[in-house]
Amino acid sequence: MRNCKINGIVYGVLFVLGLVLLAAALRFNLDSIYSGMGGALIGVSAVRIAMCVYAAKNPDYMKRQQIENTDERNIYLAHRARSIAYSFGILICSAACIAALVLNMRAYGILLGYVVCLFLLLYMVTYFVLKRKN
Amino acid sequence: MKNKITQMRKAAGLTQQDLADQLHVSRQTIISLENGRYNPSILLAYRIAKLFGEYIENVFVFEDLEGEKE
Repeated sequence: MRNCKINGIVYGVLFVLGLVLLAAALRFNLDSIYSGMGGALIGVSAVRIAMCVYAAKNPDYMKRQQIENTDERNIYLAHRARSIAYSFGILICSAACIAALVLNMRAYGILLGYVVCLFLLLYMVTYFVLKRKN
Repeated sequence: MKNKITQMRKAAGLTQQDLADQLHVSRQTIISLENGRYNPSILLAYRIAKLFGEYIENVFVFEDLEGEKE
């Protein structure tokens, strides 16, 4: 319940931010990225707020959602999915880096190379932090 | 890891949903546990054993690797 209230406040703020962005984009003829971001914020926030309201009115649904969110198998699956996605992400980035260099797109190749290095660095730092804590 | 959750659950007259509710996990987790597709954490294994009034080793059957068998 408390989480739902906090989420409601956060998404309420995001909803208002989306409205402001959208209004500003329409009023001052700003780039379409602002109206797009505003629309997306409004959409996502509205759905989340509606879910919070529905959950608040249906204790059974809320209980089920809490179980789904804290279920250890779901958490395990989410961690595994993230881990696999990370591995594939690095592979794809590395392949794209090589492809960019072969195709003479040096700037993109170097950028992708840095991204791969950053991913690996983040992995190493996270690994050592977790190793010290556990 | 094999386990006797299905037999113990049926002996206790519980449905998968009942067991899931008592353990605060999803029914899908119970299904995966019963089919041996998911190995629970030690905490969940302890909670399951405690719910049935058994020791963990009576609920879960630890299988050594073939090469490690004496």
